[in-house]
Amino acid sequence: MCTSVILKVGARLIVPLSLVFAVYIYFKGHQTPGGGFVAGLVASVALIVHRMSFGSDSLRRMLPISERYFIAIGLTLALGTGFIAFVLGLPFFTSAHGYLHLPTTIGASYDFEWASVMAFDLGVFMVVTGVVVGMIDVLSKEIQ
Amino acid sequence: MQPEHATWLLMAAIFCPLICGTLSLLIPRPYILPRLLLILCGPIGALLMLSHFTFHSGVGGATAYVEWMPLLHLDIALKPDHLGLFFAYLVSGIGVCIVLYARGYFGKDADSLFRFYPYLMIFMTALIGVALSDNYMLLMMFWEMTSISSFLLIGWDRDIPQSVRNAMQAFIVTGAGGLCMLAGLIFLGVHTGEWTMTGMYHAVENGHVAMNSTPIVVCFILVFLGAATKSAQFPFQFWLPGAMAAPTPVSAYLHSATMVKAGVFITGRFWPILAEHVHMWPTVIIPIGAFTMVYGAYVAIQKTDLKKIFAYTTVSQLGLLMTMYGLAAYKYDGQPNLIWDVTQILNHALYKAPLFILAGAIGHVATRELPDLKGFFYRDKQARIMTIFLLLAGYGLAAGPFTLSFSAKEMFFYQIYHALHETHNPMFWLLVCAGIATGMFNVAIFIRLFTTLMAKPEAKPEEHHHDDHAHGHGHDEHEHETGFYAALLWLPGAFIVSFQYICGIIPYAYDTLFAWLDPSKDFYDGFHGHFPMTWNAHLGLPLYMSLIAIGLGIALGFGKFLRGTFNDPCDHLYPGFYTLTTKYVGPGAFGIVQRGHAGFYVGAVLVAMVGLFLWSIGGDFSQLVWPETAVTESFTQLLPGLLLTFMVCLTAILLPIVMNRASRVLLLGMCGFSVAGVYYLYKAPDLALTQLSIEIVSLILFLLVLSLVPDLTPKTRKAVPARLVIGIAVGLTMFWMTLSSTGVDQPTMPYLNAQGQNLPNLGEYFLRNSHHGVDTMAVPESQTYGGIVTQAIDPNEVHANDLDDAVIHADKEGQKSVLVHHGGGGNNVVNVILVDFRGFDTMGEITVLGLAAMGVWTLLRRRKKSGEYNDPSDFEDSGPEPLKS
Repeated sequence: MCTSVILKVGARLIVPLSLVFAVYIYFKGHQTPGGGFVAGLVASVALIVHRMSFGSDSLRRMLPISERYFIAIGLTLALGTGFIAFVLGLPFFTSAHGYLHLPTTIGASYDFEWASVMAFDLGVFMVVTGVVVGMIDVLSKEIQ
Repeated sequence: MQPEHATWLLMAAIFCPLICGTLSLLIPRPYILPRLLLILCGPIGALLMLSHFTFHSGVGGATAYVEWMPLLHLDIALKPDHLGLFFAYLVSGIGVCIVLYARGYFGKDADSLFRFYPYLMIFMTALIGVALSDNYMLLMMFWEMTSISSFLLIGWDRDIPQSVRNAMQAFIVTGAGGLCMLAGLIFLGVHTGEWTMTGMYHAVENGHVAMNSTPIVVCFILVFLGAATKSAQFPFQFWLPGAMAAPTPVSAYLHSATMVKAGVFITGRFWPILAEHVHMWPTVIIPIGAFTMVYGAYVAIQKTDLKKIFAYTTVSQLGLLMTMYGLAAYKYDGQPNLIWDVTQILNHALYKAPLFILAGAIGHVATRELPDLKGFFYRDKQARIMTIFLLLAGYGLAAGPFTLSFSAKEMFFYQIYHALHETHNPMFWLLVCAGIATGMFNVAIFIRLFTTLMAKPEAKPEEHHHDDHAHGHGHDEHEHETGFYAALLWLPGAFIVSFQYICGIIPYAYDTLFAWLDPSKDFYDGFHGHFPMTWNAHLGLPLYMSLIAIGLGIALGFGKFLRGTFNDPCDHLYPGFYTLTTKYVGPGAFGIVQRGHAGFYVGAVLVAMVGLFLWSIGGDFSQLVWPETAVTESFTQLLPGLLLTFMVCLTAILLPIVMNRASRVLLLGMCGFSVAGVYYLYKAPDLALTQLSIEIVSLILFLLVLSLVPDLTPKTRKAVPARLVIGIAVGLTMFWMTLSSTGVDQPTMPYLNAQGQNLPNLGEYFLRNSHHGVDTMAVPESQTYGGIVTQAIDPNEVHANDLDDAVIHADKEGQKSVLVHHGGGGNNVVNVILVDFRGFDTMGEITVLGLAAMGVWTLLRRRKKSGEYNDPSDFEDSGPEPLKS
């Protein structure tokens, strides 16, 4: 597979940055623009760029498990979030939220506001990543 | 036991088999023994958990209750009353035997066992769920689960078209019945406002529901249709013999002992609610049940395949059970005319399951064709054991003296006798004849089984050809196991059938073993003191009926009548229907609708959309709203927006003009990026981000797909004016719909309307409740609206920081107070809507997304495997991959 050097060099910079950005917008998604769906898309775009520049084998090394498991785990996680409320005797998908006091290096602690639906969002994140990366991977293989 | 504990214990009992079945998939295939032990934990665990419940609560008893989806009336309402518990016991008890039998039946075929047990466990969970559900919708959920697992099990041999056809037949018949039942139950729930059996029972008791009104009768008929298809009542009985394509453990379990009784069970569930009040109850159920009873037995005696014989006797027995509940609508001595209904159901399981188990065992070592089994008894030791137990079970089928079956049949005859005695309706003499005829056929079947199997072999039995093998996938035909595992072929059947005799011979054995299951035993105590065992049978019409049936049966058994083969004409119902729909109606209708041309489909959808929009506004264009906010910004402020809009318009106009596919995809992408810019400009960064990434992904997907598609773009376009008109109309419609959905208050949801306050629109509601809403209104006490907990608190106590505390003192006076909604806990409303307020929708969307990806994988792999490309026209005009945007 021949790809341009520019793409390869660029990908080295872009892919890790985008992945970190994806994780960032996932965590901040409940308060500021972002969320699991977008984060999943950003992460999958990063992975696709990686695949386009370094090939399918390199992607496999980076992502050792099949995308199918991403989808399965994501769906289970999303459904499981609903069931937890259910086990606690609340209606399905009842959410809870609170604060997590995180220590910081600059003194005052940082209050991260968590919500139980973040687990659900993580499920969305994984499903979206799995679907997009998996589909594009399979289609690209078809072309080669 | 505390109610909440009861709920969890019942749910654990329901899901125990399913969990064990799922876990068994983690055990590698060759480990058969660990798999067997784990699977045994399923039914045994369920049995142990169920044993914590007592039988005291009747229909009106307490219910274990957890909210699930209250707005949809779907809640986990479980009721461990006698009938439900008995059924759950039956399912898990027989289940243990069947799990063991399957091990003997499939032998060392690890692949089959790997696949078989999880299916069986899905079924077990489903049926225990049906037995214990109190809520209609929950009941329907489990009910359909039984249909699906039955479908999977009947179509076990995926490579044999006939077995797949039979599975489809069973699924379509029971599924159609299930839909009728769903409609009936929803109608019943909407009409009465009661969504549980318990609630319905109390409503009827207190006279809150007008019974015998047309809606209730319609509900009854719809529900009975569901029950009748499931329990194979005439004319739907054909699917049950067809279902015998399944492996014998399935036939023994689903299609004789448990699942087919679900219809009878539902009838029994509704009997206390409907029988006394709906006058149609006996007139609908008794004729159908009685006819099924006689007809099933009549067909059974003319079959030669052991499994077919027993399938038709099962149909007959199901008819008997239905008739039993039909007769229960009458009174005798001021009591319902229903004697030991649970015993009747149990009795059938206790002889029919062994019959199937041993039929399967005999088919496994020899053949299931009765004429070929002449002198089977003398073949070898194993054959002798199997024959003896088959005949013992067959004696139960014949309801011979000294079996539980004899008592059960006596009690059924007593019911007929009582109905005759009370109503003096001469029609019941017909029922007497039907009872005698059924008994006669059953006795004759036993006699013929006996004479064939025990006949002196004329010649040396031919070398065995295995009829009913574990339809070998990698199973060596002649590799038979020895010892305990080989004995598992017949041991479970022997175990089950032994209860027939223990309860039939030893007085009071039944009382200690099973009588506590039966709620109506008090009634029987009141009228003859004892269970009508063979020992204390007394002269009367019922005994005469039994004696006549036995005498005639012996004569028929040895006689020459009814020895031919008779095919049930109802067998043609389903194939006829199938041919009619797929050969005649289908192509005609589909030829019009399904043109196979994407342009037609898209056009139809768009035209329908415009049409619906015009219809909804009634052609009155003055209703259409214009944006109320006047444009106050200066031209320079508007300029970026205008530029982006110009870009969007330009790409949209260029799209149909440009012919090259790649360029069109790029134009689409440009359009999308411009829209993302518009989002960003007008303060929707969330949407902009999503739109941007979606555009990138779909661009890549598009280009990938396009490189696979042969270039067949037509050089000329047809029907341009029509397309232009549709396009403009759709554009205008979308424009106005967007305007009206954002500019005007949404119709508010009912739970927003509490207290009749001046309420914000839906968007406003989302905004207010995204983190935690504060609202000033009078609320008497803490309430739950649609899953959002609201609490009334004193305004003076509210501080900005307190809002996160869940515990805030309630305002006792119900004065003007602050309503705190504990919302999604996020400031990003878009995200909170997606994952919290509309979490269910998102759940559905990601499921669809995952399924779509699975579909792509499967299709592409299939293409690769077959090595040939599909017709290129399949790809023409194909749309993009379904992606959420």
